[in-house]
Amino acid sequence: MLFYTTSTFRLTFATLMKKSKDGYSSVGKDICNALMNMPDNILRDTNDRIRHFAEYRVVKLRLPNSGLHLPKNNGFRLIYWVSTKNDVAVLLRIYPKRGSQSAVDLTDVEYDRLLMEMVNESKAGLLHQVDVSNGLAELSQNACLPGDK
Amino acid sequence: MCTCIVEIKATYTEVRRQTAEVAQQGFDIDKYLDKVNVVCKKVEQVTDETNKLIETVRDHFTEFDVQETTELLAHSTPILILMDQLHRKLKESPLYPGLKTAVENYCDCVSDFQELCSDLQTFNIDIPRNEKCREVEELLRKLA
Repeated sequence: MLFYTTSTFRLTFATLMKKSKDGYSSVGKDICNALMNMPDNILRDTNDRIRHFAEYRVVKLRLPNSGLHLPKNNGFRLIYWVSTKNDVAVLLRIYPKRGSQSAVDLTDVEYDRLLMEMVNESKAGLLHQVDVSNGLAELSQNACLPGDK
Repeated sequence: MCTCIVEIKATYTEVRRQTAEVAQQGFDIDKYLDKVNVVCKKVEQVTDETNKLIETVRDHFTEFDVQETTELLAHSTPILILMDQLHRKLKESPLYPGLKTAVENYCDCVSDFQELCSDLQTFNIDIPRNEKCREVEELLRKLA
């Protein structure tokens, strides 16, 4: 599976990584652990789905916060889009469920905005490809999805 | 038995050991702990039952249709109101110091239940009714 990120994801991720005092700095490790340990079919068909279509899914994955020893119900929420036809997933947003940066559940309008951003960034070749086996290290900075190639 | 009760009982034993005066006070603490124990078990029971409900709904998350979701949300609203009332009562109760852990777990479970209801609403009701979402849908299908 190839993983890409949008600018909103990168911004929220960087903000959390800086908040080590709040216990969020484990976010990279927690995302990588979850994504690496999930088989592709589970990544697509987990029960934490927000949108479900034949061609793609939008998933809200519940992750633990290992930095604060919080289980997944109190840890992070990772929103990602995943294709069912190609081995590609786009990380759209990450937010913690507890603490100073905690966010309320996203509305349909916010999901819509995140997805529209992904569409626009893919068209403009502005997605970043990341390596989930290496702490979300960037592999390329001018990527687009298969449909835009 | 939850950790908070064990801790309180350990503290209580220590206090009784020290002075006769504290032993007299221990009688009151005994009654207090009994009450805490009973209420704690009830709170844990509610938490367990709610967690079971959450797991069941999550396991069948994508199988609910609009009507079933609407019914489930209609039933969940009064439950959430009751849960909130119970939470406030517990926090105001003089038993609260002995129930803190159980109440915190209960509170997390209520928050999980709220999140689940919100996700179900988004998945089955809000997004299908949102015209803009349908416009994006076509673009997303091409991307996939």
